[in-house]
Amino acid sequence: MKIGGRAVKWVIMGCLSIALLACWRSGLAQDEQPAPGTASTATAAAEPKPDPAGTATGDKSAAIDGAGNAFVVPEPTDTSDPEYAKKKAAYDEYVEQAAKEPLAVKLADTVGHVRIGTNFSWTLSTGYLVLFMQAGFALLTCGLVRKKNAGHLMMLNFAAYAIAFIAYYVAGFAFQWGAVAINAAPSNIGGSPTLNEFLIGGGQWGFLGGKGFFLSGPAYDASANVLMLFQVVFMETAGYIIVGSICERITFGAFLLCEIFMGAILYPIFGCWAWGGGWLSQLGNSMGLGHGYCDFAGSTVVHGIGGWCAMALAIILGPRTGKYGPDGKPRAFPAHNIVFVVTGTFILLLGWMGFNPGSTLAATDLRISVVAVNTNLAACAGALTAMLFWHLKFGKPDISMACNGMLAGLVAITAPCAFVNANSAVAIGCLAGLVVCSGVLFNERVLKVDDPCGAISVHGYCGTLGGLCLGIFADGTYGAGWNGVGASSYMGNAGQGVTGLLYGDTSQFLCQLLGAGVNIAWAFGATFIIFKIVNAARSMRVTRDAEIEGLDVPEFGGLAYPEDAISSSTA
Amino acid sequence: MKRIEALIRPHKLCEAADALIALGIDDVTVSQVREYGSTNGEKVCYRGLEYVADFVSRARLDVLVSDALSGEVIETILTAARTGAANDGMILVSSLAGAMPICDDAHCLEDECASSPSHNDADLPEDRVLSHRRFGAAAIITGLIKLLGLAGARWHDLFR
Repeated sequence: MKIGGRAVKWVIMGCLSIALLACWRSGLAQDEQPAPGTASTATAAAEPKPDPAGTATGDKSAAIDGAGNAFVVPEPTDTSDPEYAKKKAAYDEYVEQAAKEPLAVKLADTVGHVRIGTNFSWTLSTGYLVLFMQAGFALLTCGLVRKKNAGHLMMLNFAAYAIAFIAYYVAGFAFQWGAVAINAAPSNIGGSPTLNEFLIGGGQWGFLGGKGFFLSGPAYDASANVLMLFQVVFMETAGYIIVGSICERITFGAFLLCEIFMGAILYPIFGCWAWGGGWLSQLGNSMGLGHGYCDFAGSTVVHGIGGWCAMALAIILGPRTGKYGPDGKPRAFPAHNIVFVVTGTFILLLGWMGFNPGSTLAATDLRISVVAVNTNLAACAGALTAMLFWHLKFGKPDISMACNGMLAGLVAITAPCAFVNANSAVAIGCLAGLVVCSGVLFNERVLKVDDPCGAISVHGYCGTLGGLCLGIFADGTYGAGWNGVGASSYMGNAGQGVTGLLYGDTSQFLCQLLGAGVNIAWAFGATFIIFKIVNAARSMRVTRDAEIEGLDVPEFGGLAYPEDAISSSTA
Repeated sequence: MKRIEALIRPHKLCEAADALIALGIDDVTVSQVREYGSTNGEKVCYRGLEYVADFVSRARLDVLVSDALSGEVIETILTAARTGAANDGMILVSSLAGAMPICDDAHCLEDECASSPSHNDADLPEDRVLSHRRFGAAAIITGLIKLLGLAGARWHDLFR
């Protein structure tokens, strides 16, 4: 691998050091026992034990009805609570009824287990759909580049999956989810109670999770593994997004570094802030900003990170040789296979049926149907808007832009899909179609940032749009108690969920604005700083000759379409 | 012997080939080539960027005929390949020093031997072309009937 050898060694040593430190710390935490002789009258919470076989996950505490009322009524402890009397009465009634019907209480253990099992099945299956998006994106991007680079694109997409996965297993998962049980326990899939420590920060200001390195110890747990499978494929999505803008000129070695960075550092850290119980998600509790930063399935957490990282890398790498003429005018580098592009887009659409509805982590959360329909509505609205835009501007609808329009709609709806109604979904899709078309033209002609597959516009710009649209269009019909805010009532209404600007909540929009800003600053900033240094140590671009010949042979020794090369020695 | 090389529009290939076959010429070599022509390039648009595909696609037919037949063949190709627009292509005629098949005498089919001026009025290859088509259709129909028969037999087994 022709990359800065010393730079790589430092990066790897740095990563391993952090990982070892975290392992040691989590090992210590496990070994800590209460000092013998200290009798504690308070409920000393014993360190939860991981459950690798899944036999202890899901019991009567997981038995919940459609409205979210638990079968097992918790004992109220806060005597100053205005509702204390009512809660105490409910608890007493439960205790009385449980005594009369012990068999029903036992049955509730089974019911809870089945509920968790159903949700395991749901989360894993939707995760597999998201995994399949890897194939869709590989086809999409391969079709959008020149034939001489087809093998290079395919290998980038392929290798991205493998190496980012390992990076995430080593450290990424722990950074993102190591503290999830503190503020954002995924109760639908067993709660992952063992992942309960921040490496940096704590309470409502967590910055980095600290348990579960190498998916071992506290993370060797059935619930944690479901979370891992589902979340790693989301990370992979951010990982392959960058391929779309850095292809046709990046060396394979430099690319592997990008993927390690994405899987272990860039994605998980923002993911911790927004989803892992970190500070962005807790802004509702800590600073009274709506329900905290919300992003249902990852417009900003996944696509924004990928898109803005892609932009930073594209700027560092520079445009492809010959893309801009001496007068600065861009030249067309046409897609070599539109069939791949459209097929890839449809596979991505199918994958999104896992991406969005799966983010409930529960088949028992029946909002999944609304989520699925909203996703499709935005996809279609985005595609049609892009077709219309291009037809009005250039006379004919461009096929690849129509596909990008659909993807833009999907990206933009990813954050708000659970919180909006059908009309809002269509509106969001239309906005995304406009943004992506303008964005592609803006990047190419004004900023002069070469983005072969439009990844920056589709994922970066529309990802941010999605995050903001949540703060505008969310109608309050779902998400009561999101991020621990307003469980009993919000804005004066019981059961009011996440609400946006158009439905009366300004603070949510402000929170989204803040979170989206942090997303852009983190994704673009961290990538730019680190890879500017890497690029200075050893150029991340292939040589000019290799680029003109096509990267298939110089980088991988073989062609994607070997019959293009005429040889006297093969048939 | 004359070698007639015709560079025609690709979509006219079928018509020209059929016309030659009807004439009795079935020894035609076809290739896809590009012809640089600054005036006849096609305007293409990709994601809003226009460029000219100025290496125009042509289908190239190479026909070997006797001197006597060459005039008729040229007329046939011209009629078939004209579209009424400009830049329809080109016909090049050259004299051939010689031509022979690769296969040896034992395997050489009579009508493969380009050394002998053949197929003036003899067996119409038109029959061969059509019979190919008839053969193809027959094979498909036979296959379908076989499938139906098979399905029928299984149905009987399943629901007896």
